[in-house]
Amino acid sequence: MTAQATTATPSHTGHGHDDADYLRVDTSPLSWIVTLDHKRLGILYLASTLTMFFVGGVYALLIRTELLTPGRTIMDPDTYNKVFTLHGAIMVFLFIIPSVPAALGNFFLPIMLGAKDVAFPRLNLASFYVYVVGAAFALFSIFSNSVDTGWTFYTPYSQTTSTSTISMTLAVFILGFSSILTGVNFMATVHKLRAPGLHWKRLPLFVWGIYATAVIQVLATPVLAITLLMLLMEKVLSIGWFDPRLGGDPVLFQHFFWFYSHPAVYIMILPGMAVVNEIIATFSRRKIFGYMFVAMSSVGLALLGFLVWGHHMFVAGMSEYATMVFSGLTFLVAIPSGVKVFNWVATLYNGSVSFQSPMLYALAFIVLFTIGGLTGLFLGTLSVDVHLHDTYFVVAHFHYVMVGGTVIGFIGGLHYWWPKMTGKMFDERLAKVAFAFVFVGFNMTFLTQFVMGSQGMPRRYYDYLDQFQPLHGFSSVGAYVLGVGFLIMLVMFALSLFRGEAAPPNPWGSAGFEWATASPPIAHNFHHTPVIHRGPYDYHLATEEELFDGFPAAAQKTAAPAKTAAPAAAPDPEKAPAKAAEPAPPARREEEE
Amino acid sequence: MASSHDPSRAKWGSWLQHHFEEPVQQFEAAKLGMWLFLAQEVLFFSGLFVAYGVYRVAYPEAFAAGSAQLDWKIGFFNTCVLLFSSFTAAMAVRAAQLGRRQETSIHLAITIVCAFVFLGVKYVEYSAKFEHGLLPGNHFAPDMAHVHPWLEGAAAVTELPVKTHVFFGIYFCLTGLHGIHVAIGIGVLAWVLIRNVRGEFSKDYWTPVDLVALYWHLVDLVWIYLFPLLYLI
Amino acid sequence: MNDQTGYDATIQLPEGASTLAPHVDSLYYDIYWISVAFFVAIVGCMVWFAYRFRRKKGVKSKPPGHHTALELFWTFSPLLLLGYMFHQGFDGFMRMSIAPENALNIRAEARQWSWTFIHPSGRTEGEMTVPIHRPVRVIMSSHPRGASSPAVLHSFFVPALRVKRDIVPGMYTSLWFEATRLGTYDIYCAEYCGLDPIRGELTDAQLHANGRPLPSSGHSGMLSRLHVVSAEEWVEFDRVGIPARFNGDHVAWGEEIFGQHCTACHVIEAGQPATVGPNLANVVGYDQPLAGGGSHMADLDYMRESIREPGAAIVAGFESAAMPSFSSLPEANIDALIQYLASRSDRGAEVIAQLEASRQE
Ligand code: HEA
Ligand code: HEA
Ligand code: HEC
Ligand code: CUA
Ligand SMILES: [Cu+2]
Repeated sequence: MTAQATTATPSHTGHGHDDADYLRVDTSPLSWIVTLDHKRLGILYLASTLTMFFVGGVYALLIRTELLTPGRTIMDPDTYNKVFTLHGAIMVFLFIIPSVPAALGNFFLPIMLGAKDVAFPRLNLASFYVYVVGAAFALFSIFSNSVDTGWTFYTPYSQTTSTSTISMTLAVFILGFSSILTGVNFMATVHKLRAPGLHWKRLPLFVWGIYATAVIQVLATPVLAITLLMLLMEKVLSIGWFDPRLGGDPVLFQHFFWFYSHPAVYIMILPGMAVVNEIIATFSRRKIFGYMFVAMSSVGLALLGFLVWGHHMFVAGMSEYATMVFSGLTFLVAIPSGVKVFNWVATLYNGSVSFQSPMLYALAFIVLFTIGGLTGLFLGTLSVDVHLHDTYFVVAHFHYVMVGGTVIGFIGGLHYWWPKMTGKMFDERLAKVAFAFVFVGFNMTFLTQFVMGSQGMPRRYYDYLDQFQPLHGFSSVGAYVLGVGFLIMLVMFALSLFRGEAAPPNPWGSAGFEWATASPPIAHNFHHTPVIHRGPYDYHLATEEELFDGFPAAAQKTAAPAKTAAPAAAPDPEKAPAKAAEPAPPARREEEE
Repeated sequence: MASSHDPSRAKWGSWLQHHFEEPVQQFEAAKLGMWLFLAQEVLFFSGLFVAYGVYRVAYPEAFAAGSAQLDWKIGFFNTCVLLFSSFTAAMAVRAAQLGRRQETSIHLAITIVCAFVFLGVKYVEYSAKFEHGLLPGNHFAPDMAHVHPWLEGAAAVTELPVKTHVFFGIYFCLTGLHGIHVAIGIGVLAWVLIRNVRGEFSKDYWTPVDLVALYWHLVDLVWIYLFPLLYLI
Repeated sequence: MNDQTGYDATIQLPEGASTLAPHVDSLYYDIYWISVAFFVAIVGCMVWFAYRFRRKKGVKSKPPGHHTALELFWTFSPLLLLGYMFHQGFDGFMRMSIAPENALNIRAEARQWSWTFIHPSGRTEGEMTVPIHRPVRVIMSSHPRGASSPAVLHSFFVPALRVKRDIVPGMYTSLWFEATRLGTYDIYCAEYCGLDPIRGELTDAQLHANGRPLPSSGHSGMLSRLHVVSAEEWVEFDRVGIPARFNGDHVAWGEEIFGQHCTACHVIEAGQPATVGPNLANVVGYDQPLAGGGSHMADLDYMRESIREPGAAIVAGFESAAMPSFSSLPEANIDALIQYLASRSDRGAEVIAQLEASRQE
């Protein structure tokens, strides 16, 4: 069906040079540096964020190695404080926030919308350069004197430490603008560049997720920017808004910081969930159960996320009334998350489920995110959070949602869309081996930390009481297993790049719009703006053959509208009404849901 | 497909970017993008406004004293200048929509001149504050000879309330950030003016003029809040 | 009066030694079992559906139909459980917030990286001694380490009591508890408070000893202990000053105080290089070279002055570093400190004798 989902007007003629795929239109390095093509920018972001993930991962392994034994294991306390700060800051600001939206989102959002590019291609390139400048500042800070404040930059310590916080806060300030520009761009793109026929109720859930993320990026990130600017001003001019000696209030900084950073955790998780929607639909051959509920829950999370920042400060000295309100609102956030989880599970029911590597990651996402989310409820409960706050329980909670959720979702999406992006298949067996290591290693590392935390092990500790040694040791071993998993994955992708078989346009047999393009897509994605006649999950409109063997008609790289394999159930594009917005009859039944 | 291949696009100028189907789509996308950017700007300033609110409640006396050191007449003059420039910016858009190139240029130029006047006045104000030691935070060293009394009937003032330096910290940050926005505005206005003189705009395509005016209205709007908060109450 | 109602640690939670612990723990386990139920249901269904509907040749998936009722059900029914958690949590939190009228007020001063506890009688110690079955309100404040360094955030955390509260510079915060079990429990600093990066190489022994991190590791070394004692023992401690756990051994007490306040800057091992301040082994009873020439015998008066007013006589070679004054420490504590320092000097006998004599009076 995919090939037909995106039909061209019959008037098209020859294709000439336009048929070259986006990687081959121009291979000179300069063409990459000044590219306006959203796909190339997606690849640039992908390469940079993955690099940052490995840097952050190396820091993580340093943390775990130091904590292998009590006392000094490999480094000074001083160095340790810098290592966990850089681990947190790099993972959050340089890796996870740009990862799915800026890399996968850039690549697939316009294609899924049937557009040739994002609304503002030059802004897109600019935001990449802003990211690079931010990263450069971060590197400068790391190599000058590094930072030891924790990723939260809490005052007054961040004012008094002699490490180079100025360049690091500047780095984060700049990275924030990259994120804002990406968000503005994506919102305008979703609103104004949808192909004819692609109304809101037909949008792929990936697009809904990225859209909700963009809303948060635009509305929350500026507050982080001004907060960091205020921190800088305080440091340079000693204004006195955070410094108690000058009459300021250190807790005010925490309010500002979390006003951004709580919504930011939804900037992290929503794209992960968005990817999982696509994978589950494809590998169970079924429209996501409760499509509209799932779409709206993304928007709900985005909005509710703005109201709960105070749950990071239950013991920081807020009024009882404020803690009550924040705790109550925190619980409401569980509702839209639950809706998603329940609907994913329900999608499997009556599906036709296969277990290729992307699907394994999606299922792992459900398991791990549920654990991470449920432990968030312990933290949202006031009296229990008093005990658990700033212990390893919190560390375990956020790694379950950020690594078990977002990173697993991101990696799953990478497996899923790899053939489309690179035009190469990968070794499925090796991918499954890597998955096993990652899944087992991850749980070894962080399940242990829940126990440690509820027993009272505080976080950001260079050293610990001897009684915690067995748990810390086990957790560290888990981290090495996890590291081996990622290393195998690295090898697997490298092999695929250099020796992988050519990928067909639709290797997983998905009904999603992006699979109707060639693998890899041509520079302008489509020869003509496609006209959308059905939703991205309408598997019942496809033939048996398509379901089990993919979309053979689309296998022709030219991606011309294939006349050979028009599925019986699909409306003939030629006969389809010229008014594009008219949905095809069988699809309409779906929409009333 | 590249636009050059498509005869249906030939009727539009080269300003229609390849990924848009038609001018309306491009215009609407640009406008929406600008509105989102402005929403972002509002939230950017909001942090400082919140700080203002928090510390005004915490140190009412210091804020009263600090505010009294600002000359509301100068502030009012600058408010008028900015309001007028917003008006000329709007006129520039109207002229552009009607395709009156020269009129557009004149209005844009007046807007730029107003922006310079605003910054010039700010410069005078700032240098007075610098001279009198009314500086943020640690650098606060008021020259009591130049301090205005802030209470009804108080004769001579010998001392400012202890937290007055917080007021000046916030004053300089808010007006400074606003001033930076004015300066950026001058740059963008000048660029649009140059493009207009070069004849890049027409009755069919005047999006940049519209966008720069939108931005300018925001700069104006922020000042509309700053003036009473800092100078009057 | 001294019957104990606390309980031992489980796999998930540490021992419970306060009146708040049973409440927190039962709520913790309620949420735990609710979570387990949801987890088993979700993952169970997921695995079962995935297996039951695995891909088979010839079997097509069925498109989902209308299920608005089901959607609404699972959108709104969790609210009941969530409401329960919220209510119980808030209830317990209010109980934690409001201290009983008759609570004993103990002040806790936090500085980078040590604790000082000040009892109503003025008794001061680095580990906290409280009576069982009596509400205690801890009133906390953050203090600078030295004259030039500002105060930072800390957090007072005793897992066994299930209490925690941040300590914010420029304000007093407080928490309260009532201990229900005799014994010794760990006190942690739970808010990151950094480390002073200007220091030389540290040996392993300066970072970790007796199974515990030391203050020289910064935030993670900001540990202390809570001693819950019987009411009688508490009264006795309040009278004599030296905590009962030392059995009258002033050297051991002095060692504890030294570990609490001094190891951040001083080593006390002959032959070790000095860190921030001089190596304090073999100081008592020896002539000390002073900055600006001359020297002074480290007798009892000199020692008391060095601790109370360190600026009065500066040791040669340490002009650039400043030692904070410890004049807020009670006399008994300072004397115990000096007795400990004297015990680490081969010429300390005389000072020890003087101190013992002064106590007999
Ligand atoms: C991707 C990032 C992410 C996500 C998605 C979340 C999701 C949630 N987080 Fe988490 N959180 C972080 C990242 C994230 N968090 C980080 C980084 C920190 C620490 C920062 C730092 O201090 O350094 C943190 C810290 C943190 C705290 C502060 C702890 C402390 O410092 O004391 C709290 C407290 O309320 C909290 C709560 C929650 C809740 C309630 C959710 C909810 O959104 C979870 C909702 C999901 C579910 C509940 C599971 C699925 C739902 C169902 C199956 C429905 C049915 C369930 C029931 C009715 C029981 N988080
Ligand atoms: C997206 C965010 C993210 C991610 C992905 C991770 C990933 C990991 N994190 Fe971290 N973490 C944070 C965000 C994240 N973390 C944050 C915000 C903090 C709080 C910081 C603070 O307190 O300020 C934190 C803190 C934190 C701590 C607590 C430190 C402390 O409080 O003292 C620990 C301890 O175990 C830890 C461990 C890990 C581990 C083992 C991983 C693993 O999942 C990492 C796995 C990845 C790899 C192992 C990479 C693979 C690389 C190789 C195998 C080497 C090959 C090398 C080359 C090819 C060059 N993290
Ligand atoms: C912040 C660092 C710091 C801390 C904490 C500190 N000191 Fe010192 N100490 C110094 C410095 C620096 C000197 C040398 C300068 C001087 O004599 O004042 C010194 C000198 C001394 C001397 C004089 C040594 C001699 O050779 O004559 C004594 C005795 C001493 N300290 C005892 C203590 C005791 C006891 C404590 C704990 C209660 C303590 N110090 C805590 C930094 C510190
Ligand atoms: Cu004090 Cu951490
Ligand atoms: Cu949060």
